[in-house]
Amino acid sequence: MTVTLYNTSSSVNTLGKTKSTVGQAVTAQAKGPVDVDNPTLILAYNSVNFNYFYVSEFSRYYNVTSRSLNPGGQVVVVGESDPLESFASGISALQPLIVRAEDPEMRSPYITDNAIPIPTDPQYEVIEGEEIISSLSSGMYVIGVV
Amino acid sequence: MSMPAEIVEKFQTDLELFSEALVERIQELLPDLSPEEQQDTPILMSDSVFTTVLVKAIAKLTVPGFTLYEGEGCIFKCDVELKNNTYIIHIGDYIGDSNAVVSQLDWKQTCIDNFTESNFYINIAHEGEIRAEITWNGFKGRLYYEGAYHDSDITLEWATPGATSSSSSNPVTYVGSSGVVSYTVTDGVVSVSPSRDLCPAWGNNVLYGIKGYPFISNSSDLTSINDFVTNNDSTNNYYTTYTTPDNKTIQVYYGDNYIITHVNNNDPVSYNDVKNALNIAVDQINNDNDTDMSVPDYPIPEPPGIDDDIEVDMPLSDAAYGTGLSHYYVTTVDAPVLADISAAMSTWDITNTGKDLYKNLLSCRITKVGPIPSESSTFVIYGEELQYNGSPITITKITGNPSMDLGEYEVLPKFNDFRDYAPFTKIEMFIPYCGWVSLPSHVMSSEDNPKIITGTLLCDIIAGTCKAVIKCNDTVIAEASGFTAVDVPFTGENVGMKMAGIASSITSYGNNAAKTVGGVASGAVTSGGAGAGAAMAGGITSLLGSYAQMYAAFNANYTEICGKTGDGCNVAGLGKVYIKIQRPKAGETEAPYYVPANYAHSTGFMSMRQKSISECSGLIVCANVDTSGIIGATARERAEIKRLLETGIYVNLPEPEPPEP
Repeated sequence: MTVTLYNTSSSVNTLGKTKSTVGQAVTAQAKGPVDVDNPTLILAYNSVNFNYFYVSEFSRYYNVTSRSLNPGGQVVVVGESDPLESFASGISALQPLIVRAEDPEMRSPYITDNAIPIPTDPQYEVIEGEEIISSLSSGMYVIGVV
Repeated sequence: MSMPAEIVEKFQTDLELFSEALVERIQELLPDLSPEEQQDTPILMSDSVFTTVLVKAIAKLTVPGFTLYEGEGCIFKCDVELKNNTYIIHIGDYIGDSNAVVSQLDWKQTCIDNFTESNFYINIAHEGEIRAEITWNGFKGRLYYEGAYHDSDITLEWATPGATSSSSSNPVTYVGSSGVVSYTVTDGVVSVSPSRDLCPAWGNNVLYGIKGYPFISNSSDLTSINDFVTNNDSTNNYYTTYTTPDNKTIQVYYGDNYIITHVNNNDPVSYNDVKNALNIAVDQINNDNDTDMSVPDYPIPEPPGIDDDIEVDMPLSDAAYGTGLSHYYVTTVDAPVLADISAAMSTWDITNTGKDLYKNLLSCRITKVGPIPSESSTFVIYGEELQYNGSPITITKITGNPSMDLGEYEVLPKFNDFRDYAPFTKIEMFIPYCGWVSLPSHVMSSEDNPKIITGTLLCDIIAGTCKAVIKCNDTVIAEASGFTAVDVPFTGENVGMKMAGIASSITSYGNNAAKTVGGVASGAVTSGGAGAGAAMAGGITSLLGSYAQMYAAFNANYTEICGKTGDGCNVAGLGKVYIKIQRPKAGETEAPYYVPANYAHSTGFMSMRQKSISECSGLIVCANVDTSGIIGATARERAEIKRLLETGIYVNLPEPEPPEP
């Protein structure tokens, strides 16, 4: 099978990982029965300068979970399926209810966000208004009801 | 004439339903009527023909004295024309009678458009007793008429502002823009109304009649409830107040021949509230054994200020007493010092006239609100003008109650998000005499939705009370009440004691420490009469300084208080309006959101929007993701995708290419 090797610095939960190709596509042999989700492959490659790979026969991307060198100079790599990248086109087409978002344009500011830290010590603002009752020197009324 | 066929059809269907429902309801509710009485009802003559139903359900109900002959209802001509977007239905032209009654009912095209959304109410009544209500989903807006029953030729047409409709023989009187209509009703009534608020579109004063008596025939607008009372029953009326669930007031007036309600145009109430008020009034009358409405139900007050052992200067006849009470006041200007108070009390010193004012004082208060509307007047006690040395005594007479503007205020947001509103932000307003009042946080203003808080302090100068009405963009948002005056306690013991009591209270009002004036008061008793005021003035003046200091201390700014000033606070409290806004502390975080800088990237702001993931960027956290549309993934992978989307993923997809031109 054909394996394309990459290096990526994107986090595991990134859709649309930034990847740089490492060399040319290499051939690989299965080491025993292959678990498509967690395959162990013997690569016709003699370096471990990659952390991500793609198996065209499986149409899947994999995060490298372990790498080892055989005495013959071949690399044995164990991968874990990355469904985000493997099915990026299908995921991109989803239209889910987005509860939270980083994009400011997606923000709904008037929905209560209990995750925002709110100090219990409040602050006060006082607007001083007009004097309705003037000082005593301006007089008062004595009212007799007859 | 042009009327869409579907509207005619709908109209027809609704009238049929209405008519059938009305017949069933009448028979159910009034089984005690004789067949002749039932036969006399217009409703029982109806059938399902459009014109017949129209005549019977509308014309008979709207045209007093209109006689329908059994079996001939359908020969009335009904015509419909469309004029200026208004459908006008003409009913009349009774065959064989060129002088047939013609009534016009019209309603707006917009009401037609909302035909199925409207509600129509008719209360079935008999001999003044409302027995039930029928609600009919049908018309809306322009077409209102009172239901009628049995010998009740009830007329009500509603004149919208600017309406000029008239009829030569229909006694309905259109009263201009006030929206007041006239009744010619002899029995049975009813209040029928649109399903919307009453006031705004109905003019300044909404008068709703009940009990089936003529209540007004006025060629000009009514401008106050007094116009109505004066024109109809000037002596034997009284009213009670009905408070709606949202604390609005409906005054229900009882007269000899009517019950009406009055609602303030500035404080609109719903139709159902008016209906409830009327129904309560009717229940009260029905439950009242004394049904003679001419007897006033309010207590006749005892003659004022007179003890049994005190000789009355002037016998009070009923006629004299019936002239009512007169309210007078004297004022002190500038600082209430010796000269002012002495002069003020000397004005009252008219004992040498033989008609002792002090023995006829009902009460005395001192207050500090104003300016109080007043005028110079002669001094009248129980109908008799007081004189001094042969000349009438003049005094300042109260002619109205003052209202004080509380100013305009705008509360601006700090966060521009949910934290600017309750429960995170609390807004309170301090109103002199009333204390602290909580304001709803939706008064928060913004650039695209400015909101101005205003207020008025309405004072009842005679009762010494006040009511503050707070509005936001002309909508009432809060009310509060309080006391503006200090009562001056006294009895009719003698002139000297009374004046001493007044002076004592003035002094204690000034320094807020009544216990300090004992010596002053005793001096007043010894001196008596006008001299009492002069004798006390020195003590009063000396106490003003300490009051001023105390007042200034109270008048300081502050940011937080524990407990609240209640409605008992008066001039000893704060004299200014304050608005206090309590907000969450922004802390060390930064504007504009006052949250940690990495909050958006690590946690994300609340969004709650549906959007394609391909159009998103950065962190998103989704809810209840449906992954069934992802082809080729195993169950484990779909579960993992769901978990990742619901715990948050960073979207770093390339920008979609712009569409080709």
